[in-house]
Amino acid sequence: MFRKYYKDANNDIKPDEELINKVIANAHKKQPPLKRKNRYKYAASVAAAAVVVSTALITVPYWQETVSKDTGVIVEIKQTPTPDFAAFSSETADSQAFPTQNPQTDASAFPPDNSNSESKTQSESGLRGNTSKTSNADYGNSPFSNNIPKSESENIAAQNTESAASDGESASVVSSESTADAADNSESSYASDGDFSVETESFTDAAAESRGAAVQSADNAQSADTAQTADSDNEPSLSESAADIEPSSAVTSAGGASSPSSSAGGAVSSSSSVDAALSVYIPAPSGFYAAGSSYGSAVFASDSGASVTVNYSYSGGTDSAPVYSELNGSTSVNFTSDGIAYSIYSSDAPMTALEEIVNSILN
Amino acid sequence: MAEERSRTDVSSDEIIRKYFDMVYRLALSQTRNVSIAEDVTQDVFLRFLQNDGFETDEHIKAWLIRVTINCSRSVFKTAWFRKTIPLEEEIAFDTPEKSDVYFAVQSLPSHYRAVIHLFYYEDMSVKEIADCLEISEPTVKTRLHRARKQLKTKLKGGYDFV
Repeated sequence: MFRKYYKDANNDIKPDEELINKVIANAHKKQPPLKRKNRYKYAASVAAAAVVVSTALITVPYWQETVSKDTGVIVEIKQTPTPDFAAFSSETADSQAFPTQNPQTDASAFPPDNSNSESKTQSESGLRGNTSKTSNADYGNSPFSNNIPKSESENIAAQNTESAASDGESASVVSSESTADAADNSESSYASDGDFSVETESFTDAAAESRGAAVQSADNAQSADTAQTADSDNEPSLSESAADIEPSSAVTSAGGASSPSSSAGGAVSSSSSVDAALSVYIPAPSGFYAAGSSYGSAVFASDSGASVTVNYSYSGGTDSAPVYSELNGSTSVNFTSDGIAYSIYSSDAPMTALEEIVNSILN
Repeated sequence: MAEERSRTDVSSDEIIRKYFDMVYRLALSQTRNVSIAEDVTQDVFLRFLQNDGFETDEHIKAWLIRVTINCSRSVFKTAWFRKTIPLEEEIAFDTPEKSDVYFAVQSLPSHYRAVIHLFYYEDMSVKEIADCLEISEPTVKTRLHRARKQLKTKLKGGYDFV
């Protein structure tokens, strides 16, 4: 009886047909979610994309840092040739072509002509120290330097110069830097008893040649006559190879550091560019000796504790007369000569020391 | 692919129509509310469409019963129903005996209502109930015995429970 009445009671309860249709319609409207295995087939793509993105995020800062390192080490100074510069380089056979060139031409646009480029040897015959750069022809003919790799030539130069420094006859401060390993290259420094010179070379293939020239310079340091192919005056000279390529208007200098020397006098010569070599000679004033130098800077010191710092950089500007200023016992002078801006500061040094340096630069 | 999908839809519609009354009545028995029973029924069939791998018709029936009871219980576990009590709707029957029997069963606890409904309306054996509810057979028997005892008290011994 209970079963019968309970069944009848439930049979009387009937859902609406509308509800059935509604449930069926809603059930088909709602799309079932993706099953796990269907989601997993996208997992590989998502993981690969995540790896690529994360790798890019990690490596991009490294690339940027690397690029900044490459460009940050090399200091390029663009020279705007002016008639003054032409006059400055009047010694060279082809310096007349300079004013006609685009003043903003970069040095890198002129690859060195290794076969024809030739740089004159600059000698400081009045002083004992010599900065000699043999011509590329000579350099090319040299069985010693022609086939020597860059690092080997630098090592040999260092060895030769060390021996020269020990002999106390002459040495040259060669700071060459062409790539990111310029720090290593800039370590090569040579000292002399009387002078020191700094050669800076551009970021081109000519840098290697210049290194080779430095090697020969070290070899020829003891016999300056063999390296002297030009007049032994103190005026800067430009490379003759400028005519062989094209009249180059760019001077690019990449500098390095040099070690202090114990010499009594000092000379800084700066040669630069692919083709145009610019040399600056800075003698030490009386009673001073070269205490140290780096690219664009030379320091002279005396036994009494006075010091004179010479900062120079190529500006390409017109010449300006020296302007002396004195403040709190320190004297400074600024002027421009031959396109090179000089800033000389002295500490506890007499004015005559600065005047001596200025006169030696201007003369 | 379209034919397969339409064929699946047709079979699903047939299954829904076949078991709709069973699910709805079981849900109403558990929830004692028409609206909630409709929602539970819709939820059960939605889950049915999302699930596949049914082997036999008995499997489908057992699965629907188990899911209906679980869904009905889970409705009252929600935060809303923990704080509110749904109105018990009066269902009108044509005879007082039906009404007495039906509302006597509705007054039982939910776990007693389930076994009574499955045993007396769905005509399921103790073993089937045990398999369907995933409980042991003695538990089913115990619940049936206690449910009958309460029903006898409520119905004043007017019905036999064969």
